[in-house]
Amino acid sequence: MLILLSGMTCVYANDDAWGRSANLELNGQYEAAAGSLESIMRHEPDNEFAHLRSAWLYYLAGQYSTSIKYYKTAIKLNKQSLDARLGIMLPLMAQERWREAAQFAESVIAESPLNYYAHVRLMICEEGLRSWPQLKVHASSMSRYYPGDYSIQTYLARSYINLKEPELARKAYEAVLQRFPSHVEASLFLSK
Amino acid sequence: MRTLAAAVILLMPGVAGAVSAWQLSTSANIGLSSYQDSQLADAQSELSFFVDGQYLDGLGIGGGYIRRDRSDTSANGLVTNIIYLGIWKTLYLDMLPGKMSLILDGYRSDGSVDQSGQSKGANVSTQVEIDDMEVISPALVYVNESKSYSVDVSYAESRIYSVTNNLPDVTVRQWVPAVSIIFNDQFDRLRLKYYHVSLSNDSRAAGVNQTAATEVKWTHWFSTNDTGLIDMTLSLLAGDRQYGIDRDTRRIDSFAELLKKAASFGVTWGVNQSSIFYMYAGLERYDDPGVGSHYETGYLYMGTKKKW
Repeated sequence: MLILLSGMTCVYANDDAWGRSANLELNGQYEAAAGSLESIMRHEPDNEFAHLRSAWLYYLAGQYSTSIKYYKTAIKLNKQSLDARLGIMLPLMAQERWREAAQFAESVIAESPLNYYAHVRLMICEEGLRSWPQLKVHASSMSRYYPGDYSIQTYLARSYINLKEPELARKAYEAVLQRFPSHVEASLFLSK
Repeated sequence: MRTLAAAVILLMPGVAGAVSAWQLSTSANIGLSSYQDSQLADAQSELSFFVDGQYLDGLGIGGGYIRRDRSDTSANGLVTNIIYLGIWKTLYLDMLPGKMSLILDGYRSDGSVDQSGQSKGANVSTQVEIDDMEVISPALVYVNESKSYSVDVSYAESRIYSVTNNLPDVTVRQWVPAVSIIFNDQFDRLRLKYYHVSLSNDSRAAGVNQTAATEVKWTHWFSTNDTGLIDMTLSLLAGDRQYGIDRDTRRIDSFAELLKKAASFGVTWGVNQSSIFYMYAGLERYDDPGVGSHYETGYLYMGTKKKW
């Protein structure tokens, strides 16, 4: 009976921690929101979602290395997790660790070939690495799968600029403006 | 169907497999110097080759070979062979947002003088070993998160061993604190370096056992343009620098001459997406405390670097 009661207390405490964490996140107190999940991880060290959520909150708090540590544990707990592999790219990109981030994007693409987030984040990495020919081919290919997306057109335009193909960059930026009429970067380029 | 789609995407060039874990780069360089008013040398040529490998974003190793041929005024040639090995690791710490890199460089230099002459009516060429030099140089570099500045400090301990003469061995200790300010939307960088060099004895430097010099370097990066120019660098140095080790350029000075003033100007061009070409020209003024003379050198240094 005592064991059962202590188990229930633990469940209620955990429920409390999730709610507290959500409220703190809403108030922009990301580090405290992550901290409130520590009690859950102490009782359930293999709680995948607690690690995933802590990683996200530490990313929001700007503690990128801590965020990466939690994402890596989440990946270790569930190697199939696309969530964790897509998530870890965010703090890696914030630290400009383009190669490491790209590796995770490619691992997602290998399992989910047309995953939008993986492709767009891989484009960000290609831009960070100044791999303009790769970015051009990549953005051009993906624009066929996501024809309504302005981000992909923007990366395509940037690759054209750096490959000294201004006419194609102009066309790509025109496509951006059709999809997002107040896009500052496209407007500035086309007003030159 | 899903497997087929994955295969199609993986085969798309520029999509999958585009970013490898290892990035290899090689560089080949040539330098030519001419000496004016020197009692020791007329000209020097230098050839060097470096290979650098970077694993993901946190680890790198490098190696290289430098050969210097200095022709001296008595028609003897002085050949210096230098081997370089380096390793670096980048740390990302939340308590200090930005990048912290730990670097360890090592050099080994050995020199020989080609003493050509006549013996019993025949030309004889004899290689005489001169001082060997070993350098170990750790460095710590911090770049802040917004890349608006960087600070670094490097230490180099050089041991100079006598091979054929009776001079005592020398240990040279060099400290180089440096700061870089990056401004104009990261299109410009001003780098200030202070060299402090001390020698364990002045046997090779005629009474000089401590030197200090200051170097200021301005680099401007160009935005994408039709000329292909990537950057230009202007560098000035003043003070006294002896047995200097420059981590930025992988240059080691294995002679006791005092570098008093230096000015250089260089530009880098983008040849294509994976290759660059660079060229530097410079003037340097030296004191040679051993023979009590002053001389100047002018040099041209050029090279190309390719990422594989």
